Amino acid sequence: MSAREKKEQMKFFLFISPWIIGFLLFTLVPMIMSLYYSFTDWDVLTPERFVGIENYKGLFQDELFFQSVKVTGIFAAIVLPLNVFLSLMTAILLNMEGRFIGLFRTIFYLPSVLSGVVVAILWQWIFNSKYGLLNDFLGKLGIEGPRWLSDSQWSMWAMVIMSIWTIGGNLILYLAGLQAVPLSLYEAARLDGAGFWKKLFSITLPSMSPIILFAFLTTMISTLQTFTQAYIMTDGGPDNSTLFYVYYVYKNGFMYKKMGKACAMAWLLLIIIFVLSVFVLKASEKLVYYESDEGGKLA
Amino acid sequence: MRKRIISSLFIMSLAAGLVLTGCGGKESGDVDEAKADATTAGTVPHDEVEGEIVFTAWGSDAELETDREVLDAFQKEYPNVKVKFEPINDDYLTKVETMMLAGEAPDVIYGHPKYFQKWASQDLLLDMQPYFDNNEQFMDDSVYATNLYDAFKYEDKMVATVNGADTFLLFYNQDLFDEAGVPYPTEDWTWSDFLAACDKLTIDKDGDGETDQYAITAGKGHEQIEAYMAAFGGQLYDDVNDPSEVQVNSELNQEALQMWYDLINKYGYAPDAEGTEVVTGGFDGGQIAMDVDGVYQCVYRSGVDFNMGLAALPMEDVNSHYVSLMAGYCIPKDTKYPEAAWALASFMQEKAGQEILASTGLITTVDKEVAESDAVINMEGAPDNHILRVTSLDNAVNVDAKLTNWQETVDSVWQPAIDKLYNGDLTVKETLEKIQSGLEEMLESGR
Repeated sequence: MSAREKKEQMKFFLFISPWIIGFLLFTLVPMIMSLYYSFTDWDVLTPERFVGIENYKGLFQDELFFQSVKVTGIFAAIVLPLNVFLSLMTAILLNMEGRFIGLFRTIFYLPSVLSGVVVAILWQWIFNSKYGLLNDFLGKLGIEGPRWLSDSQWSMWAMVIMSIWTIGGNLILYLAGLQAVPLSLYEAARLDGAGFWKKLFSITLPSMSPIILFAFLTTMISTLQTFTQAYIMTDGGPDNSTLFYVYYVYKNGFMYKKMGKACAMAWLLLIIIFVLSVFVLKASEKLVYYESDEGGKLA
Repeated sequence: MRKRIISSLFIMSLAAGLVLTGCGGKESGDVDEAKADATTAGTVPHDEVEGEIVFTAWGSDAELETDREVLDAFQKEYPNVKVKFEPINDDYLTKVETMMLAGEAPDVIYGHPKYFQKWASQDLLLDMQPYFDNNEQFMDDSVYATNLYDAFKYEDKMVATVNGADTFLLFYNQDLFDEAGVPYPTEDWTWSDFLAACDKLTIDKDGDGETDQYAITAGKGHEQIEAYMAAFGGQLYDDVNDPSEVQVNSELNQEALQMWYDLINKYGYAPDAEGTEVVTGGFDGGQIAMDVDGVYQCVYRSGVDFNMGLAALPMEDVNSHYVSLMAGYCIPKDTKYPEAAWALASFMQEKAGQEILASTGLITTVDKEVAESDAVINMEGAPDNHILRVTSLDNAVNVDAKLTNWQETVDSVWQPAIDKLYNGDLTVKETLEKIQSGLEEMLESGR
């Protein structure tokens, strides 16, 4: 290694050191510690006691644990496809030429700029059965709206409706992706007489597939980690119908001071997310098209 | 020879030194003990108490201002104790416990008995029993409402000084009662009087089929429902301060819960929980005639623009009673300045501190004379019959059971069952059966 290379390497480490230090101190070390604590009985204030896999075993006897898995699973199963589909469709619409298109793009993205807590409080009001905008609107159509947040039959749907509002995050990714699709492909297709749907399925979607995969994965992970809505709006209720997994982790860790159990749950979630991610990546191999130097090899 | 003399002298002086230091040590031990006695008895001259302590509490601006006033008075009394006030308004428990974990616990901590119970069970708190034993005044029934002390004990030892307690009572809007021609609640009114009043106070003003004025609030919180149960004479446990048997599933509690349920669902006298939650201005805004709530609400309601009275729910049963929310001050046992910390914690319970604390109406102080004083009972904006906050305390039990897992019990047993009842998935009887079995399950691990 030449002196210059060495110097360059030094610079590299110097510049990256804030991240490395931050990662080690605030992510890696706490993660390893949480793995250790997941094998202990720890109430935070008194010394921990090693209990082996008791916490993990205990989870499978805890009704509320299964409830939280169910709630989160159902939520993710509905919201994930809905979000990915709607944001893509909206992006395609917003990618068209037209008046005020910039304004529309801004409007759709705007909700994603707001903090989660603000959004949750806002929706709490919208969903209010008596005084909320939503039921007021439904009332005008002659429909008697349900008690969105205090009826366990409806609370999950309220969460789903609310999640649609924040498709802006993926939308912006898709828009960027759409604009990167080479126009020459569309021109060639048009000369061959391809219509809108043909172009969509043969050019747009294949070109966008890596971005769709990315959006799918990140949305999957974030829906599995849903927390704010339960924390701010419903406290996991009514009747635990919105007891999201991560909210139950929080309750165990910080409200009931069962840190061992909370850590065990957190690690279990990590494993679940890991397995699902690997599955998605494997399953998507044949569906995702990566443009590369070798001329479009399927990755 | 000379060497031997020198070495003998040296050994002798060393031995003497040892003996003397030994004596000295014993002497200073005596002094320490005597000083400890003086501390627990509160007879150390105040200007000799020294230390730098941290005090923490939560509260509205007005409450924190009151705390600051108390601290100012304390500083004058104890010039050599430096108090740093660190109010925490968000996520109080987590933050205080994080400080404890980091070995930086505040020296005096404001809180509810349920917190103290938990910390004491973890052996984190200073045992205040010797202090109380040595403090004749604190043990004097005629001065203090000592019946509240049980809630502040862990294994029969006091672990906190007592600020006071707030019973859950019935606030009512006298103007709305007058308009509807309904007589004000009396001490001996019955549930049928109550329902008759509710009927007249529930009004559809514009005739559109929607109720515009409700008679009463019926909150879903466990405190509100417990208030109904207590009024009917039911209880959750054999002894809420030392629970060994769950008694939720009783006939009295069934009647109480049925009443609460019917107010919303059968009679429509009360708005549903969502309505109550959002229109918190409901009672304060003059849209709801009665409200079961803690008397601390007096602070926030001093500015309402109607005449307000304080009453009890009907108390027809011989066992009818009230529930109350209590508060006090504990000291972590690892505090560097136990003497100074005790000085502050006890000051909060002494007359000088209690007078200031009572001045906002936030708490019914444990010092009876202060609680009953004209300045408190007739403070600006106080409701009619304000004295009930004091008299009701004689017949009040802690609204929180003394269990280390009480919060979890409420969250995972009580609230889901009430939600199910509310949604019509369970009957009142089934709800109580479910709560009964859930509380039984939680009882063992929380004791």
